[in-house]
Formats: sequence, C-alpha cells, structure tokens
Amino acid sequence: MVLIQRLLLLPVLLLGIAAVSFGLSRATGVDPVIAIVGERAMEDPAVVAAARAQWGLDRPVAVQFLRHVANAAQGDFGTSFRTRRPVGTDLAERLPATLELVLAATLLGTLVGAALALLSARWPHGLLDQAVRGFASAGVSIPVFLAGLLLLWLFATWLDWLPGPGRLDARLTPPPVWTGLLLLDAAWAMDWAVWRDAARRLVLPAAALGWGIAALVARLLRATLIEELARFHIVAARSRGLSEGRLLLDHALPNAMVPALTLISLSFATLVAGAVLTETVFAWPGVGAYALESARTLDYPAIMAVTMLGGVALAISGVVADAGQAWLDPRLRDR
Amino acid sequence: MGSMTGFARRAALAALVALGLGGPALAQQAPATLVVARNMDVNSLDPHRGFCDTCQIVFDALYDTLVTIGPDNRTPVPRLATRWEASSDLMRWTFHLDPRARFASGRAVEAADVAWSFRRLAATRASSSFLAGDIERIETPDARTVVVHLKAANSEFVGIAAAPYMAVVDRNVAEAAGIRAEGEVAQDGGDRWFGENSAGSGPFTLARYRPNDELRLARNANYWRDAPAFAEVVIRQAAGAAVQGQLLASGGADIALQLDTETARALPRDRATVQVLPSPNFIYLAIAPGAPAAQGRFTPEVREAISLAVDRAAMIEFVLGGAGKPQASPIPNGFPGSAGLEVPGTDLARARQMLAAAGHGRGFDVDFTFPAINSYGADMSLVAQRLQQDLGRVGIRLRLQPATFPVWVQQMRAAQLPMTIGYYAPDYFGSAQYVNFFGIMEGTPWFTRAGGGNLPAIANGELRGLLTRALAAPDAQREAAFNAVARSMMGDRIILPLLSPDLVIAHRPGLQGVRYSTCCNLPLAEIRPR
Amino acid sequence: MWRRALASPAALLALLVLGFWVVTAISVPWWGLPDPTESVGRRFQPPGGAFPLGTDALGRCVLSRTLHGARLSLPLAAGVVLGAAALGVVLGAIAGFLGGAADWLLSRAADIALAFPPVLLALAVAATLGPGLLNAGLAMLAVWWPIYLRLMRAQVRGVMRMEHVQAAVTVGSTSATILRRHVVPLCWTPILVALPLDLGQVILLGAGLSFVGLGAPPPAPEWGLMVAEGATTLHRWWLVAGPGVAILSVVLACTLLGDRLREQGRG
Repeated sequence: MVLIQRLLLLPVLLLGIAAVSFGLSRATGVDPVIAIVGERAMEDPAVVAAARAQWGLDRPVAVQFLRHVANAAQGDFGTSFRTRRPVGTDLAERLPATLELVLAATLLGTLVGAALALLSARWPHGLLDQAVRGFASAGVSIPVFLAGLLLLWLFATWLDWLPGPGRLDARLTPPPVWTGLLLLDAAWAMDWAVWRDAARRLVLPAAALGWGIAALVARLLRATLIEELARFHIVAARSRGLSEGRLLLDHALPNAMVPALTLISLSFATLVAGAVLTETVFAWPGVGAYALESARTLDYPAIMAVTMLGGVALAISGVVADAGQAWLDPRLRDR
Repeated sequence: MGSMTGFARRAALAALVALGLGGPALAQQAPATLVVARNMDVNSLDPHRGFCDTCQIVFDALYDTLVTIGPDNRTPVPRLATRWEASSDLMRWTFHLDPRARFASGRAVEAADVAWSFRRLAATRASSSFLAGDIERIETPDARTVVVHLKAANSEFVGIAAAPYMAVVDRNVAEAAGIRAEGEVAQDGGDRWFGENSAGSGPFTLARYRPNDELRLARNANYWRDAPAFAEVVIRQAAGAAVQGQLLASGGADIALQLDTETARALPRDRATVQVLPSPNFIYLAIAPGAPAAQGRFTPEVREAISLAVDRAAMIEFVLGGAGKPQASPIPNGFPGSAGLEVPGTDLARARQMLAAAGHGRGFDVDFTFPAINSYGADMSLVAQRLQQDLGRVGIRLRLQPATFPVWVQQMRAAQLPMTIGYYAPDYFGSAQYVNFFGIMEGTPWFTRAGGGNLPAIANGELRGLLTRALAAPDAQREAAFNAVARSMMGDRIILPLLSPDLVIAHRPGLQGVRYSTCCNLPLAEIRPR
Repeated sequence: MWRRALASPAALLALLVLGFWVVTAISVPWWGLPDPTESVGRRFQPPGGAFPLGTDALGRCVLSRTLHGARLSLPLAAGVVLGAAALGVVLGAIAGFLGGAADWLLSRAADIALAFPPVLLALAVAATLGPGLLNAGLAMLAVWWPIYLRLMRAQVRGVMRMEHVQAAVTVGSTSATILRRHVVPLCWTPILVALPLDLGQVILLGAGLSFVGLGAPPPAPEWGLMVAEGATTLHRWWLVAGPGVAILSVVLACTLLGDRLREQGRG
C-alpha cells in the first residue's frame, strides 16, 4: 500500500525536481548561450543569434520549460551545451562507471562493517569493541575527498602498490560494452588483463567511498547484534549449549541484517553525494564528475537530467528499502 | 537470506579477489600507443565549430591546413600547399596544392575541397568563424590552385591559414553524411557526425570519442606523407596537475601538458623529462574606467599608479614558482611587434604619491570578480590573491569574488566589472587578433567591457590607423609597424599583462619530437620513440 | 541528559576538542600569529622554524590559516544547523499540528528537497547564487531544513495522540495554548540530540563545497578551500595536513558527542 502510494507520488516529485532545477539554472540571470559559444564569440551577434536559434533559447522561458518536461517524459533530455551530444547518451555512457564504483563501495563497506560489528558484538565493551567504535565514529567524520587523497597518496604515490587515478589503463583496449560494468564485461570477454587492471583501479576509490558505509554498518549492526543477543530466544538457544560464536552468526546476524540492509539502501543518497567528490579526486568518468562539470559551466540540460536521475535513484532506493524490509522481516510481511 | 554459507562464500570470494590484486604491477608500455593526459575542453570535434586548446591538437592531427608554422614558431612552412604568393596589395593570396595530397578516403585533395571548407567555416557562425570572416571569395582556376580574395589587406593571412580551424575537409565524404557548407549549415548535425567520424587528410583518423573521458586517434593508413610513429594516440581526461603528475609517474600516461613546474620537478627523473618553454599565453589585469562601479576613479593617473603597484616578478615567483616571463604589451612575447618592449616597473612610493594627488590618499575599495579556473598552469585565484596584496599596499582594497566562467563572461561583457583578470592564448600566429580583441577602439570587445559606451573618451584615436598600416605592411616592415601598435596599446593602461606562464611539457624519457607549436599546440604526428 | 552523557570519557574529550576550537575561533586574532592572508615567507616552505606547519603557495603561514579557519567553518556550520532547525521545527510543527492540506504541501516540499542528493542540491544552489560563504550556507540550509521538518512533524503527531493532549483538544483549549503548553515542551529532546551530529555533517558538506570551489572566496582560510589548494600538489603533505586534521577533529568531536547524547536519550 505504502509502495503504491510512493510510486504514484513519483511523477509529482519529478516535476517538482525539474521545476526547481530549471528555476535554479535560470535564476542566475546568466545567458546560457555563453556556455555554448564561449567568451570571444559572444561579441559576434551573428554567432550568438545562430546559437540561440539552434538550441531553442530564443523561445520564452515558460515554453522552454514545458518543452523540456514534455521531452523528458519521453526520455529525451535534450542536448548538452558542453558535449553537444544528447544528455541521455552522455549519461548512459557514464552511469555504469558510477554504478560500478557505488556497488563496489557498498559491497566493500558492508563486508568490512559487518565483520567489525561481529567482532565487536562477540566481545562487547572490550578493547576491540572500543577500537571498532572509534573507527565507526572516525569513518563518518572524515571528508570523502580527504580520504580519497590520503589513499591515493599512500597506496599509489608512496607505496606504489596500486595504480593511480582513472578507470582503466589507456593502453588497454576496453572490452565490448555489454553491461558497461568493466569487471563484468571483461570477465564475459575473458580479457583478464583488463579485468585485473580495472579491479586494481577500483580498489582505492571504492575504499574511499566505502569507508563511510563500513562505519555506518558497523555502528548500526553492533547495536542491533547486542540487542538481538540479549533477546529471549537466544537465551533459550544458549541453554541448549550452542557456542557464543554460532549464536552470533546463525541467529543474531540474520535478524540484525534487516535494519542494516535498510540503512544501506537508504544511505544511497550519501553515496551518490560522495561519488561526486570521489570521482573528482580519482578522475573517474562517472555521473558525479559529469554533474560537477555541468554545474560549473551552467550546462542546464545536463544539470536537470542529473538531478532528475538522482531523484529517481533516491526514490527507487527508498522503495527497495521498504520492499526489502518487508521481504526479509516476516513480522512485517504478515501484517 | 541469512544462511551463513552464502555469507561465508562471498567473504571467501572477496579474500580471493584481494589476493589476486596484491600481485606485481602490470607489465606496461605497449609502444604502439601514445597516451596524453589533459584536462579536455573539447566543445565540438566539428573542425569548423570546435574552438579550444584540445581542439587545436586534435584538428591538427586529423586534418591538414594549407600551411603550418615551422619549429622556430614563426616561419610558415608548406603543408597542403607547396608554395604560395600574395599580390602586392596583400588582398589576393594564391596557394599551390601538393599533388601527392590524399584524404584518408584515398581521394586526392583538390582546390574545391579547400574552398568548400573555408566557406563552411564562415557559414557555421561558430566561435572560430571569424578566421574566415575576411575572405571575400575563393577562386579555383584548376584542381591544384586556390586563390583567396580578402576584403582588406592582411599581411598575416598565412598565419591564419595555418590555424587548425582552417582544416581542409573531404567534401565528398562530409556531404554524403549530410554536412553542408551552404544553406542549412546550422542544422547539418556536424557536432554529432564529427564526434564519431573524421574526414581529413591528416596523419590520424578519429577512432573513438567519449566526452570528458577519452579520445582515441588511429594512424591514417592512407597518409600521404611520412607515417606517424605511433599507431594509436589516446588523449585521456585528467583534471588537475596532481592527477596528471600521478598518471605520468605511474606510467599511465606518456605526456602531460598542464603540470605546474613544481609538480613536474617533483616527478622522479627516470619517469619524466621536463621541458619548460616560453609561451605566448598570458594573464592580464583589466581595468574598466567606464564601468559604473568604477565611479570614475580610474583616470589615466590612477591606472598608472595601479601598474606601478604590481610586483610582476614576485607574482611570477608566487603564482608560477618562477616559471614564467613578464610581458610588456597585449601583443605576447615572440609575436610580431613584441621585440624590444620594456616591461613596466614597480614603484610603490610613486604609486602612493600619484594616488594621493588624484585624491585617493586614503585608498578605496573595489569589487574584483575573477574566473575561478586554472589556465595554462596559473591558478587565477592565486593571481587575484597576489594582486589583492600588491594593491593593498597602496590603499586599493580588492574585494575578491570568484565566479564560474559563464557568470564572469556575462558580467564582464555588460561592463559590470570595474577590474578583473583574464587570460588569452593565440587562435592563430599573428598579432592583429590582440588589437581586435584588446584595442580600446570602437567595436572591439574590450572597448565595450572597459565601459567605452559610458565613457567614449577612453578610446585610443590612433590605434585603428596603426593597425591598418601594420596589416598592409610588407614582411620587412611588419615588425616595426606592429611595434608601434603595441606601444600605443601599452599607453592606454587598460589591459595590463601580468605574466606569461611558461609551458611545462613533461613526458616519459625515450620520446622525442615533443614540442609546443604556436599554431597547433602539440603536433602529435612529430612524436616518436627514441 | 547532558550530565550523564558527559560521564563518558569519549564525550568529555570531544567537548574539550570543541571547546579548544571555540576558544581558538574567538581569540586567535590576539595570539600574535602572522596575518593568515599575507605572504610572510617563501612559498611551499616545509614545516619547521617560524612556520610549524609550513607555508602555502603564496608563502602564507599554514598554522595561522588553519587556526583562523575556525572563525569561518564553526559559525557557518552553527548558523546553518540552527537556521535549519528553526525553519524545520516551525514548519514541522505547523504540518504536524494542522494536518490536512498544509501538512500535504509542506511534506511534499520536503520530499522534493530531500529527493535531491544533498551535494547536487547544494551544487545547484551555489552555482546559481555564485560561490561565497553566505551562499554556501543558504545551499546547505536548503539541504537540511526538511530533515528537521520531518523530525518535528513526526514528533508533534506522536504527542498529539497522547491522552492529555487529546483531552485538551476536547476541552476546547485554543491551538496556541495546546502548542505552547503541551506539544512543544515534549518535542525538544530529539531535536537537541540531532544538533551536534548534524553540526559535524554540515562542516563536512561545507568543506566539500569549498573543495570544489563553491564555498568561501579566497583568500579566506576556509578548511575545505585549503585542502583543495593543497590537493593540486600532493607531495606537499603539510598543505593538507593542517586543515585535514582540523576538519577531522571537529567532526569527530561532534559525532562522538552526538552519539553519546543519543545513547543517553534512548536509554
């Protein structure tokens, strides 16, 4: 019921986002044609008029907005001022890079976070627990761009263990695009040189971005694990002579994973935000870097498309969180 | 979910992956590919529409021009044309094409292709169209001869013809794809088609382009001159000196073009050879006496005082780590007319005295909006902060306000900025562009930006005549004629060049032929392994 | 609640760190440090001698800039959090109390604002208004107010269902009286607990905005801006170390304090 309500509200939400981002990009009072023709050609009225006509900027603002919304509803987000290609094409090219980064970061963060939480919950209030709690607090306190710079400096520049910025060595030929996720495409094409390089290059940005998730997961999971352990059915299980470790893994963890998974899908917004900065630091050709560059050049077809994409992604992650919770937690499902 | 086995299996897999990654670095360097790390500013790969530094490099690699500028960075040398001559009034230029010249499609380059391409450049009404703007008509008496008639004498037309935007395109291939030189040029889809294809006679062809990610060029199998040494060139997006330096140090790139000297010098010697070369690029302080916000303060005396307050040597030291040259006039070092000009000096006492005499003994505040970008190795923000310190010493207090590029352009064009800083890199080899852009005379961009609309008195009355004379001067008298132009512009003290950043080219050892060109930036075809 | 929270050594340490930065922010101009915006030495001097944290590209003292940075980051973050809380609390109270159309409208407005990934919204606002400390503050305000609106609305609706409030409604007390006497006093705790945590997160976002050039204008010694300036030349670690440690210490202190408060609030 809640799901359907959410889905029905999605168009309203998107229209609102479109209006806000269009309004913002137009409230600048800056002539978008500058982004198209550049500083020097702005002095040539013929060039400016030609560009205005070609890009539909000679129409009233309201008409431009309506046209944009109508086109966007049909999946056409217009043409980027900066790349002069359909924004949809640009995004389709860049989305997999961001997706790969975010998925890797989520996976890494969840595994590390869960491991830390288990260690912490196994011996609560011990030295290890204190360390984990310290890490959890530090993890959400370090700016992602600083974490990225530190990792890059430590592992790529100083120790020289991992390659520097970029998604793939320029000398390697990227595999044919199948999913756009390099690791999957390379594996599919059995191109292990590309797979290794792509994987090695994914480690640092994923760690920079996943750090925060690990901290979030560790914080939440530790608390819920300790609560779960104390619960009645566990007390009962203990009386049957199960070891503390088995208890934790077989009984407490499955239940505690429910809120943790919800948290992970809800922290998607933070992830996307982090992706903007991580992609900037690591020269990662994803949507985040694209958004930043678009905002800087007032490339408003691109800005609007990216914000709407972000809105849809957030809404979907909310729905997935709800659905996942309902599916994982029998108490909720029965209700 | 919840079964521990799935969890354990995934953890084991992760451990395996981690182990696999810990191994030694990949064997690198397949010498067939050359990788250039750059912050790509490509706005279009349509040679008659794109207008940017990376465009210069790419168009020079994909297309031929009639002539090009030689390694001395001033002498025109043959490219498509084996020889050329001008009429005595410098209004008719005749070019004789090399009979060997072939497009990548295999067809011979003909005079009609040249005429079609120049007409199209004018018709796209793009940022680079002004280069063809002075062409009145083009005659093609035979397939090997091009006669260009100009609207006015132009002693620098050969320099213009060497600009990569004057690219000669295979008109048959282009027209088959719907590209137009007449009629509906605006809607011919050139931005898109040239983003996926090339149609030139240059040493390379376009293999793949992903905006702000990478651009791949492949060796032109049908190239009509010596084939380039590298089978493939990749221009890789890398914003910022830190990223470019890291790519170079790790072997991920062979050439980095936008390093600052200090980052370049910090690279290990066995990984990078560094060339520091003088450049024609420069950063200038612009004063707008007629801007309403200037409140009439910027009289000639106050402008001179400002010039006297700027410590150019210290600015080069702090902004560029010493890797730059002072520049006297808006005509940059090495361009016609720049020889023998004296760089204005620093004299704080005199500056204070002049300001006091002008009634500004207690100084004044002024808004200072600048573009928040890094251009040619000089961080504009550092330049602005240094200026704030310098001018603060004579009582002129700048209120710094960084702006994104479009905002800065908009405000500057509306004469809303009493003072700002800007940057300029040449569009072609020739000095007239500087007069047409910076000269304080009716119709130029900086006449408007300096507030000439409100304060016509700032106009420089002699400049137009001096320019016309320079453009009609035969080769032997050109330097002196443009020198007079430069001195006249210096006297206005509206555009005050602050510094000319040196070009820092860092490349892996084992490469030769890496150089900067005043027409074409980085000629890719000349680069080869040692 | 505060007293119990402070019994924990971590929270005490956090409070000390925050106290240090607040005292620094107030008193640093009188410490006799070099002017944070003037070139006082050669450029890129490594730490040592007259400059314990070295000098930056313009030969300015990094230590002085880092300490003066507290005068920008702390008031900005505090202003944003308090402003967002004030706005969100008022609107949330209205939405929760009135219900109906007002509630729907305010909640959808909050949904839209929350539907933007925070950095994108802040980017769009900062790009529109132009870079600057005040504009960065407004951008972050735009990100944060709906969080408080939701918090307050949920809180008010919870309280409104309580028996004594229902009783007051039935008796016919005026809205203002009900709000003042019954609703508001019961809603404060979660807002207060959220403040320190959000303070840390606002500092993080502000530093991020400055890092990409949309925050404080130069020559302001803003921490994110300093990291951005230092990040162009990675081998000069001292440019990043000072402001990096500053951001980390403040945010960490806020997080620890917020955590302890929340635990006490719950327990």
